[in-house]
Amino acid sequence: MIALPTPDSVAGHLLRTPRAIFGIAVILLVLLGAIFAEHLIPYDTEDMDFDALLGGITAAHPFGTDQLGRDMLSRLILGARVAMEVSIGAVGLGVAIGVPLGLATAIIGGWFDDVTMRVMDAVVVFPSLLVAVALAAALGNSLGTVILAIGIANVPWLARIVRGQALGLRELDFVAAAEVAGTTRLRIMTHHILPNCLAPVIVQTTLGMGYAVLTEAALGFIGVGIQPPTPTWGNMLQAAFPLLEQHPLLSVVPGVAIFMLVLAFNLLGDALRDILDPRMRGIQ
Amino acid sequence: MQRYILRRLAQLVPTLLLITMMVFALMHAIPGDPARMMVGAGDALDEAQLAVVRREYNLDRPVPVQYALWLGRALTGDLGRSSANQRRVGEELLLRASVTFELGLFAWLIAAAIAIPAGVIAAVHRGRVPDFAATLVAVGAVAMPGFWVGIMLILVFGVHLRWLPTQGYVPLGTDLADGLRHMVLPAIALGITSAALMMRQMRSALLEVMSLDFIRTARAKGLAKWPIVLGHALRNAMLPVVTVMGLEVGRIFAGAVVIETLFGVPGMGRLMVQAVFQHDFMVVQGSVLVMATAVLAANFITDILYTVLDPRIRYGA
Repeated sequence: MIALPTPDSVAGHLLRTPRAIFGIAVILLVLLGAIFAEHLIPYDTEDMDFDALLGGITAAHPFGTDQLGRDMLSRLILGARVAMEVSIGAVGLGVAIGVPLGLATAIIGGWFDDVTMRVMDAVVVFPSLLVAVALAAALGNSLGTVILAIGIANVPWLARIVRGQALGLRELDFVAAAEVAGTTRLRIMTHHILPNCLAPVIVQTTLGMGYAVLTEAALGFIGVGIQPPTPTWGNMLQAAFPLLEQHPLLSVVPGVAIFMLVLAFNLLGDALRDILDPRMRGIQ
Repeated sequence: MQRYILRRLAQLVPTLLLITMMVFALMHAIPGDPARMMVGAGDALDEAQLAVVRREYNLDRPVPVQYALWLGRALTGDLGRSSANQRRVGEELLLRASVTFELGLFAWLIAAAIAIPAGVIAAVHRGRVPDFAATLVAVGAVAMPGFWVGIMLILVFGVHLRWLPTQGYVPLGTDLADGLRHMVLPAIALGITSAALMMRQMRSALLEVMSLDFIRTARAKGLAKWPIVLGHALRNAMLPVVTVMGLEVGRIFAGAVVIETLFGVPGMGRLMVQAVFQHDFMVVQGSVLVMATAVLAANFITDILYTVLDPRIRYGA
C-alpha cells in the first residue's frame, strides 16, 4: 500500500533529488521544443541545402544535415513533438481506460472482476510493438494508430495496479467509516479510494511514457509508424541506416535524443517511486 | 502441486480463447471486402471468383460461425494461405519460428549470463564502485532502444572493426561457428534491455534477502561472506528473478520484430513486417497468434517454475 504524501512534500523531495531534477529538466526542455517547434527551428524541415549534403557539425547546422541537405536539428525538434504526442496520448489513453476499469473491478467484484481480469490477462500477452504492427496492417499507419496500440498495452498494467490498491484500501477503517456514515459506493470510490490509488499510477505513467517513446522509435524504424515527411526520431533512424557507413552522425543524433528523453522519464519515475514508497528506497 | 498445475492449465483455456477472439477480431476490423483482402489479388477477380473465395473461407456465414470454423482450422495448424506467395501460413511460420526461437533463446541466455553475476556482485558490493558501475550501465541500457544499440554495434563491430557479420542468418546445424558469429550482434541487441532489468531485479532481491534474520544467524555462526551469499541467500533471492526472466520472453519476441528486420534474420518477426507491407493479412494474423501463444506459454511455465522453486507457495492447493 502506498499512501500519497501531500503534493508540497513530493515537490520538495523531488527538487532535492539530482536524478529527478535531471529528469524534469530534460522533459521540460523537450516539451517546450515540442510546443514551440515552429518558432525554434532554424530551418524548415523540408528546406534542402544542396551545398551541405550529409554535412557534419557546423555553426550553421549544429547536428549536421541529412542526404537531402535538410537540417538535423530542425528535424530533431519536430520529432520531439511526435515523441511527446505519442507518449502523452498513449499513457493518457491507458489511464483513461485502465484506472476506471481497475476501480470498477475492485468495487463491483464477482463475475465482472473475473471476466475483466481474464481479458486483461489476454491483452498482456500481446506486446505493444506486436499490437502496433498488427494495427498498422489493419488500420494503416498514423499518429492515432500508434497511440491506440501503445495505449491499449498500458491498460492492463494500470488496471491491475489500481485494482490491487483499491482491494487493499477497501478493507481499511476509513472506508468502513465512510460506509457506516452512509456514503454511496460511487462517492467512496471517487473520493476515498481513487485519491489513495494515485501514487503507483503516477509512477507507472511516468515509466510508461518512456516506454512509449521507445516503442514509437521502433515502429518508425521498421517503417510502420508515422510516415515521412513528418519527421520522427524513429523514421529519421530508418532513413539514416543505409548511410551508416558513409555518415554515422545521422544514426547517432536521433538515438541520443531518444536515450536522453527515455532516461529522463525513467529517472523521474524511479525518484517518484522512492519518494512515494519509502519501503523501496535504496533497494531498486 | 499437480492439482495446482492442472488448475492453472485449465485457466489457460479461457485466456487462449480470448486471444484467438482478439486476433480474429483484429482482422475483421480491417475496412474493405475481406474476400479481396484474403486473396490479395485486388481488382483482378470478378464476382464469380470472389464468391468462390467467400465460400472457401466461409465469409458468407455469420461472424460467430466464421470464428468457430477459423478456430477449428487453426487448431489443426491450418492458418490459411499467404496472399503474397500462396504458401501455407502454418508451414511458413513453423519454418520461421525456429529461427526466432534460436535467436530469442540465445539473447535470453546472454542476458541471464550477464545479469545474474552482475546483480550478485552489485548487491554484495552495495554502495561501492562495482554496484555504482553496474547500476549506471543498467539504467543506461534500459533507456536505449534495443535496435539502436544494434545499429551502434553494427557501426563498431561491423563497419569499423570488421570483426563480425552484420546481416543474414546461417543455421546452427549447417555451420555452428558461422551460425554463432551471425547470431552474436543481434542476440546482444535483442537481450540488452532484458539483461539490465534482470540485473536490477537480482540486485534488489538479493539485498532484500541479505537483510533477513536467517542471514544474520548465518553470519553470527561465523560463516564467510560468499558461502552465505551463494549457499543461503541466492537461492531465496532467485524467485523474483525467475519471474522477471519469464516476463522478458514477451519483450524478446516483440523485440525480434525489429531486430530481425535490422539484421536481416529470416524469423517470424521479419516475416510479419514484410507481410504488413505486402498487405498479406493471413500471415500477419498467423504470426500474431503464434507469438501471443508463445508468450502465454512462457508466462505459464514461469508460474509453474515459481511454485516448484518455492515450497512455501502452494496457493492453497
